[in-house]
Amino acid sequence: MSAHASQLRGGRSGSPWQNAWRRLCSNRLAVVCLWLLSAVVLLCLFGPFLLAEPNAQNLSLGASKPSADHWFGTDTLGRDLLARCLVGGRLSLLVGMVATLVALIIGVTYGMISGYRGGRTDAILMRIVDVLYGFPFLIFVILLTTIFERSLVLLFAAIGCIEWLTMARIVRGQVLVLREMEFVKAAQALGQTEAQILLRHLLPNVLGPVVIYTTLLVPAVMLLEAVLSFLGLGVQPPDASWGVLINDGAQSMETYPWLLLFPALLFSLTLFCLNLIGDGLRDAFDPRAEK
Amino acid sequence: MLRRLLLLALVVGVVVWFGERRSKRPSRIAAAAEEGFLLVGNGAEPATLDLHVATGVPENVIISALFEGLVAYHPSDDYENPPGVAESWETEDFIKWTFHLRPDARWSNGDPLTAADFVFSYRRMLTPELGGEYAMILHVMEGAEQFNKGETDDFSTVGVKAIDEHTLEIQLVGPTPYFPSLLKHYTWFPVHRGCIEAAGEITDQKSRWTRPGKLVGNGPFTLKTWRFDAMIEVVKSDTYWDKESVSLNGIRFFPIASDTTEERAFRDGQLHVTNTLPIDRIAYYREEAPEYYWTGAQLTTYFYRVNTKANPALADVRVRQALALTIDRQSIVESVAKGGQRPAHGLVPPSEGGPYTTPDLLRFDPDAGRAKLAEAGFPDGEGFPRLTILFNTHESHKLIAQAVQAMWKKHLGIEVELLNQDWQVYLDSCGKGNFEIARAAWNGDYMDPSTFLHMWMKDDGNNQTGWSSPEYDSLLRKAGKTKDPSERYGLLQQAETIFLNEVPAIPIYWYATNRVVSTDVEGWHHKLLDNHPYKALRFRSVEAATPNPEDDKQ
Amino acid sequence: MTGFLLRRILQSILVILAAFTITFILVRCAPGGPFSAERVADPEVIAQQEKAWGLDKPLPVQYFSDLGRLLKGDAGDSMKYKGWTVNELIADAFPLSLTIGFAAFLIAILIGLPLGVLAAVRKNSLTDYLAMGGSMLGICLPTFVLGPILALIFGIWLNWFNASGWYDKSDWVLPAFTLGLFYAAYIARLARAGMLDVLSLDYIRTARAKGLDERSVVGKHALRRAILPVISFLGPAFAGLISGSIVIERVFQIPGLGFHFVGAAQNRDYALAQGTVVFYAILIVGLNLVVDMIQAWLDPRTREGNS
Repeated sequence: MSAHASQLRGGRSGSPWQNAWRRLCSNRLAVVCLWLLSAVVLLCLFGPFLLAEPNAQNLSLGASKPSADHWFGTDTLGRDLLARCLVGGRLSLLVGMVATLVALIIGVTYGMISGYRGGRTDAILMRIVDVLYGFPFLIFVILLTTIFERSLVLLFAAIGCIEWLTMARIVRGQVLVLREMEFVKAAQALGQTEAQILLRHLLPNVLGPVVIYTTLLVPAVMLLEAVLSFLGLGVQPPDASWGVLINDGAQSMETYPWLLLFPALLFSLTLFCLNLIGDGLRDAFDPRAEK
Repeated sequence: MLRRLLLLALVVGVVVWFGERRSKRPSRIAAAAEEGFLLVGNGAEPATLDLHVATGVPENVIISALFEGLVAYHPSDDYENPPGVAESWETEDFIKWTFHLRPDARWSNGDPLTAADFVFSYRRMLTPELGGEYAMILHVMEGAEQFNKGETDDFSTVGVKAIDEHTLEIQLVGPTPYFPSLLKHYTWFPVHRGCIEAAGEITDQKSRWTRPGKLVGNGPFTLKTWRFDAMIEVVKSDTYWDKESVSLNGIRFFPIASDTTEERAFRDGQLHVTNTLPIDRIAYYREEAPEYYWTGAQLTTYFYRVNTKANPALADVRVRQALALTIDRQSIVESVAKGGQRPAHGLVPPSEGGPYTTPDLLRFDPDAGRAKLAEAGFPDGEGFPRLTILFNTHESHKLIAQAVQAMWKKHLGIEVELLNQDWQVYLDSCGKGNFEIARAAWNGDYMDPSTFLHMWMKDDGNNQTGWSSPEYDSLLRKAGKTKDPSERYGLLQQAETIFLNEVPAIPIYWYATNRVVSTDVEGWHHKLLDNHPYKALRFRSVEAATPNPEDDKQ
Repeated sequence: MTGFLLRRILQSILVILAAFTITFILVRCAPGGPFSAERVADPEVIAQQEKAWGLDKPLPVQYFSDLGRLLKGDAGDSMKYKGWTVNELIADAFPLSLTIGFAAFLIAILIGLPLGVLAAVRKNSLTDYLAMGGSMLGICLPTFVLGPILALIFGIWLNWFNASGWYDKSDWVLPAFTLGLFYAAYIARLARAGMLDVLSLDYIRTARAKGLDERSVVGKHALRRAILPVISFLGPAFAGLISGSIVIERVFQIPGLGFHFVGAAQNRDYALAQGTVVFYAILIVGLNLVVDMIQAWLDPRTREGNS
């Protein structure tokens, strides 16, 4: 990410953030996705207040096709699917955010320490990352979730503990470059502590790639939660996340296809938008390394 | 441009040709029927085929094809006790039974089957070191319980003797008129001593005597192939005494765990018989394809156990009654379970034409329920503790629990939480009493109400509710000593009435089996105990080799 | 090179040991044991079974005896499927998972790589947008959604393949494609990015200026460098294929290793769970070693630990 370094020295007019923002806005696809994503998020946050109670059962109605009363139809217990999807979205997005935050905190801290200390510490820490990188963590998550009572907290922790690796690598890469720069050497000369340097000087400057990667991390996390729910290890009833709704829908896919279609659509749409926004951000911050 | 069009045409052509060839390939069931093989979906990979160690239904299904007991199952009538290995039997007091084994009974390796085989078999089942979990079914025999608990080493104290090669005498603890029906259960089947001893210690649970090539059985089929978690194949036995009436050449069992997958396989033409049906396909088959659909009552009750020790509220019988009165069983059966189940008005599932009448005591009466709860000190649910319903992870249990949760909230104003645990964890929680309300089901092992009533006695390990009633226990003990059947059923009814008034467990519905069977299969009947003697089945499409005498009883 | 190799092998052994230890601890922490039953028997009955499997001994004894047995290649006896050894179960299940995994891998490479390269070469054309759009779709559709849909279309409606199970020779197709398409999407994106990176470099411009035709420019010069990000993705891809196989095997009811693993965890079948995890660990670690070797051969910089 050498172009980023050159931007720090003020290669162009305006701050790097402003430049990035301008470039992002000119990327039409990313902007569209940003709007779509905001729409979905807002709907999930506020929609359920305006709609039918998502857990209200209507046993005599059972599963019914989309209609004027129920825009997405109803599930086998007569619950409005639209309301369930929005509430499920809340949970999926929540899990996505929190687990990403966990991964973020672990990854950034790890990467910064490893990059800043360098030498043997760096070698050992990165070796650990290399080793963990190729490991199928799903196996241990399965063990963990079959063993301990399922709770949201466990879910966040388990998922977060898997996804921090790439974040750590990226941050370390950044820090390796940054620590050679003058403003860091100056801070060292002034006698500032390691913690101060890390927090005040390095952290703000790694935020760029961190933000980019975070938008790419959220969909990965949400996908993982959905897989766990599919295996029956995620969220408990009557709460639902998109993963649970998709699994339920896949069971009765042939008789009640809308039960699968709507949650899957919403889920894929959100992932799609997040991925494209992440791509757009990456392009915006570093136009030469178009990926 | 032309090149691209030609390429496109080529690709389309290949795809169409491929599609035609693939979709016209012969269906597996047609090919199998021609060979005389029945393809059966069996629900799960059997944990073992050792009948002294097995505990589940998938095991039972295959064991019933490989072995046969003194008394056989009738293809269509649950109450009939046709002769199996025993040609005939007699008793005077229902305590001492004498069985006359047929002289032409053989093992699959040609060895003659004698009474000594049964004695060996029961000894192995009851040997404590084996750790057989179903040994308690044999406790009706005199001295069996003591031997099983290790109180004595001497098997001659147990009431089973081989009088001669073809005469077996069994002495029971008390008069048991339903004993022949009990003998149909696989725990009473014989095993071949030589085959087990050749594989190692007779008490070795890890023994491999049940492998193809080693397993010696006496049933209509023998074990040919066992591909783990893929398929078990059995073929017609040459040494079975009734082999003339066996029409099938073999059976292949497929352990398909997911009901949606199994139903898809059936539609794909890969199975003749399924194990079950997913709830949302039942309506389809009932309306559009009823010729495949088989449903009927099953001798199994679905209920919620209440742990009376978990919470003072649950120890109060009025609270339990309130909970029982506010479950709309009809609605659950119609809108949630949707599989032809029957709302339970008692504990013991009723059987048509059977001698026992289940008391009709359970109701849906929300007003009475509210009144009871208020009487117990929780008017409109105020102050009622927040309880949890525990169930093992399964779609239908989840739906039913959610429905009950909503019903209790609506009618009683109480909040309950739901907790699902994986099977092992759930079993552990139930066994240790770590639950407040837990979903459960109980399968009748034999055609007598005592199979549902014994478990609620004070020290029975399957009680798990912490409830007991001296009156209940004494009624059951008295029934165990009563010879006259109608007097006995009267006592059992009184006991069940006590149970239903106290509701330490709340019955919800009586199971129904739902499955689909290919129209090519003849001789399939609905059975309460859901056992289907394979020797009675044959293919319509294939000329029947010999007429089946059982079918004349239609 | 030898030093590198030795270090990696040592690492691998540590990883496998760690995997075994963690699994050993985790399964024994779980509530419920392998012998819980619905028809509650006397506690003595359960105790007998525990004794037969050595579960009555203190934990450290169990640990070292299990470890010792593993070193000799014996993974013990299954506790749920009595009479089967873990080695037998793994030997039975692994070929299935391997077939599907390998086929998925081939599909991912054979579709993803050319697609990505093509998209890069025809940058910003319709081909590029279609390819990248398709790959984005692939990444966003979870396998447990794609699987049932493919099963529905090709298994039931068109009846080209069996919708589930593992009986015919053609049963690998649907699961392999479901898994493979997902990774094809990732590889396409990586290949395109790597290709674009390389194509903008100076020496490629030189080659073009010299008048070399496009095909040799792309094929000979650019491709080798462009594959690097794909190769470094292979490690996590293998891990992903293994995790993915757990889901696929559930969707298509294939009695592979993933299927058994989940079952073992749920049934508290300690021996089977430990055995499958160690087996996975050996597999992953072995594959990663091979990938590292290839990477080191292709790009000597990696040997110094610069990622």
